[in-house]
Amino acid sequence: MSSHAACGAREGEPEALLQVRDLAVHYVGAGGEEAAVLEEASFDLAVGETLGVLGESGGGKSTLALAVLGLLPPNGRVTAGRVSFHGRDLLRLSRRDLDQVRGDEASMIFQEPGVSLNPCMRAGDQVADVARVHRRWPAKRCREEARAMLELVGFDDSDGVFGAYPHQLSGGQKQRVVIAQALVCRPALLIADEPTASLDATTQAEIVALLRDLRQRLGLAMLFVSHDVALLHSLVDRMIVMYAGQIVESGSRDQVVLKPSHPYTRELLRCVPGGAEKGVGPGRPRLPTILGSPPDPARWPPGCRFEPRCPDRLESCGARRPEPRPAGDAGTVRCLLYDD
Amino acid sequence: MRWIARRLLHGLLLLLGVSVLTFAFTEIAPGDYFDEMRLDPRISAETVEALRSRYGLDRPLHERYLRWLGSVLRGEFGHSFAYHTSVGSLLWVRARNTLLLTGLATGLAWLIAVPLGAWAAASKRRWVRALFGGGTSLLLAIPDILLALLFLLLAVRTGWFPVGGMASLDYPSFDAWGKVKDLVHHFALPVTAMTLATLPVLVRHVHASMSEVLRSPFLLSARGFGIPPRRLLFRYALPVAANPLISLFGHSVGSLLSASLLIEVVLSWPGIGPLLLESILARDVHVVIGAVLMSTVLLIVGNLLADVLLYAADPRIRVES
Amino acid sequence: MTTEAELDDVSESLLSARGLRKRYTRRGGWSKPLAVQALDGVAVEVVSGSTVAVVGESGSGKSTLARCLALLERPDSGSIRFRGDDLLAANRRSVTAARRRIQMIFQDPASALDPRWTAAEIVGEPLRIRGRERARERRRQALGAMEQVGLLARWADRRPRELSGGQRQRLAIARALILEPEILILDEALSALDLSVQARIVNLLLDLQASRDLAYVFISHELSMVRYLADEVVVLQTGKVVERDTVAGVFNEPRHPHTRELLAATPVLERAAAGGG
Repeated sequence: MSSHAACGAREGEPEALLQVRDLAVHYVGAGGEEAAVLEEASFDLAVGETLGVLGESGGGKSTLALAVLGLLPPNGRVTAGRVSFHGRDLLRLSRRDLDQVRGDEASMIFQEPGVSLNPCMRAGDQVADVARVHRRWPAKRCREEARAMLELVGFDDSDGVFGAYPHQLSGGQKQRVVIAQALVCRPALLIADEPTASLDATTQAEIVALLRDLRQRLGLAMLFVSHDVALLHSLVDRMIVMYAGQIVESGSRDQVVLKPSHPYTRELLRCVPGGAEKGVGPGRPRLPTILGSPPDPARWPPGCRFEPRCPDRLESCGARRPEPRPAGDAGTVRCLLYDD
Repeated sequence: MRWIARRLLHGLLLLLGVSVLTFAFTEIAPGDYFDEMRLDPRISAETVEALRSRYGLDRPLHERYLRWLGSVLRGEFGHSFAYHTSVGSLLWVRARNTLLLTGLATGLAWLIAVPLGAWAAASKRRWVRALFGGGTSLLLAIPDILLALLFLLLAVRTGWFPVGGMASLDYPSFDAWGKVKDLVHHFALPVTAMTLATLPVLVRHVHASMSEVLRSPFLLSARGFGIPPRRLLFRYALPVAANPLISLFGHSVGSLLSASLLIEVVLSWPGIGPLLLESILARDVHVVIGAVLMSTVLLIVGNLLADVLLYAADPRIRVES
Repeated sequence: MTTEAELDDVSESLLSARGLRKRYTRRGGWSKPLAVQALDGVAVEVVSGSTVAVVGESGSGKSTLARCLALLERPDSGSIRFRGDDLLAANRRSVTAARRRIQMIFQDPASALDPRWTAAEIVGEPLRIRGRERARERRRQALGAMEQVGLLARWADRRPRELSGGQRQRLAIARALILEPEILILDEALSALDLSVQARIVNLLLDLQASRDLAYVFISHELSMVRYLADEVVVLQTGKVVERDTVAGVFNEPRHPHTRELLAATPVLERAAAGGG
């Protein structure tokens, strides 16, 4: 809560669309114990910019995405921080006011398109309903908008899709319908939580191409959460890397992927299988791995959270908490190796 | 639709089977209506035999069944020895009274159960959950007969409500408003008892079904698009949760005739319940068989209704061409 | 000549499937039955100590093939020979024996493990079913299998939900190993795991392959892992094999357009020339 040297924050730039500062989230477990699953998360997102959130499960990346739009599960609550969007703090809005922002000015899409749609409603009606709720247009106008949106997300036969129920659509088609729902009111921000993780490689490529195209056409800013380094690198402008509930590194996509600063980022990138084929015989190469496993959110290590697994750790790392500090061009890193 | 015609034919065959079986079962039960007369020294054995042959009770089983089947076709459903009238006309009046009671109570119970269950499932407040769980458990734990007795006690002790019947004796002399008031007065207790008896099961089903749907990701997704809470609950969640509830609805229609037996007997409601009890005790077999058949008809209609509703409500079941 | 070819077959390939066909009929409430030809004449050859990868889009028949090879499902036609015995024509006893030699690992370890059992009980379960050893011996062997997959003995009494995703997958592998199989069929076994955990399981699989001469049928949509782990790659499209080659062949000179499509769709990480590894 202390840090004002925000990760990835580019203070003073006027066009920041979304400004997240010191966001912290706690989850309450079944036994009543609290776990701080997200801490001191700060970043900026400019109009039309795409920010990637990279990390492994338990890193806090989905929690971050959900917390921004107030979509945390009932056992999660924001304990600190500020989320300014269009100059308003989303964390302090009433449910009613927040409902007016969600779907209209900012939308969120999820990993499993198969379960993101209402099984008992026609695809077109689901798109039209979002327009109806926010715009209060007459039904006919809403249907027309929905149809136009379905065409925009790549359906040639928008009439056929309009009347189809979700179970009649393929995974990729469902994700397109969800994207149409998300964008029918032309929001400025789209938050996408692993939107292609459950899709085939070829379908994934199509959806990513579509998002790229829509971003351009609609001037959309995106917060794109993924565990797929290669995918993020091909899509985003900047990236933040999350580990154990903290943003450990941020910077431009090339900086993070090609010149990673934080030991975790470096180790994670090493785990991506390169183009190498399986070696034969006893001396064959093994895939690089990260030792140990992530710490338990209910019992974070007192110092750096990556310290127990870090190959480059210093003696002080176990006791001292690293704070985010500037690294590279407009990037940050949370690591004592960069302390002076 | 051909499918419905097939289902109806199916139902007809089922009815025929049920009638054969009930006939066979009443045959297995010892004695018949006229056995009690034999104990009466004033009636001679010849008279009893004459009566039995007059009503055909001395004929073999299949002959009696065919005769009964003939009377079904005439709409009489056999003859009641105790009431000296055709079972059809007797059952019709009684069934109407029962259906009035159970239909009203079931409708009321559903009207309360759906919003209550949905609201309780959606509520995050702890006291709502506690109250809901406690209340339904308590109602579930109270046996119907105890509930009916409690209401009887209430009626007797306070005198606020009539102790039995469907209308006052001088009902025909009232003006229109008086008639309505009299009916409401008589209906209040049995309908409330019946509603309370059916409510907990329904409300629990609604609650369970809604709770499950409320956890599904599509609602999180819809919430992310700013769909307001009430619309989310009733326009998005409820139709998806309706599937098991529709089957339950079909079942509740199916049991309309039998659900209120105990309450009718205790609160002296002139429905099927007391009649069935009398007829079984008196071995007035045609009445028993008639009542069983009527229940079966309702069961078939209820299931058919549920299937048609399911078909209408759930696109996943509908035909894809 | 023929005899020699047959002998060759028997000596070299452990599991050999020929002309596998499988058709599913999907039936809904009132909907017309919809027939899907999941497998349309698929042949696979598994040599001991090597890895065959099966790749393809969803609906290409990958998982059906896996279940057929694991003898969990019976193909409509075709033959599956294990060490030369035709398992589809064999009696139940030899099929049961073969089933112990062919084990399957699923994508979601959580759903394949009974949540009420402890780790040691889960791993020892196949032994209990076979019913040769006493409880104490079963536990000893279970602990041995757990050790082999890198699970600590002090975790033996934990239940699945007290283990991480990677640990659960190790548990599933330990359970598969306890009957000393010769083939493991891995149906998207790594897909639900994090990258760093995937890498460790892959290393484990490679170690086991080296020490036990295990053969793998590796079904995956992650081509980078396939490239690393496999010796041979089979590309499926709508139930048919469209390409079959060595890893180097498929990745460096893909011949079939569908293979090229699959490869093009997978984003490959650009690395710095002198990057971290």
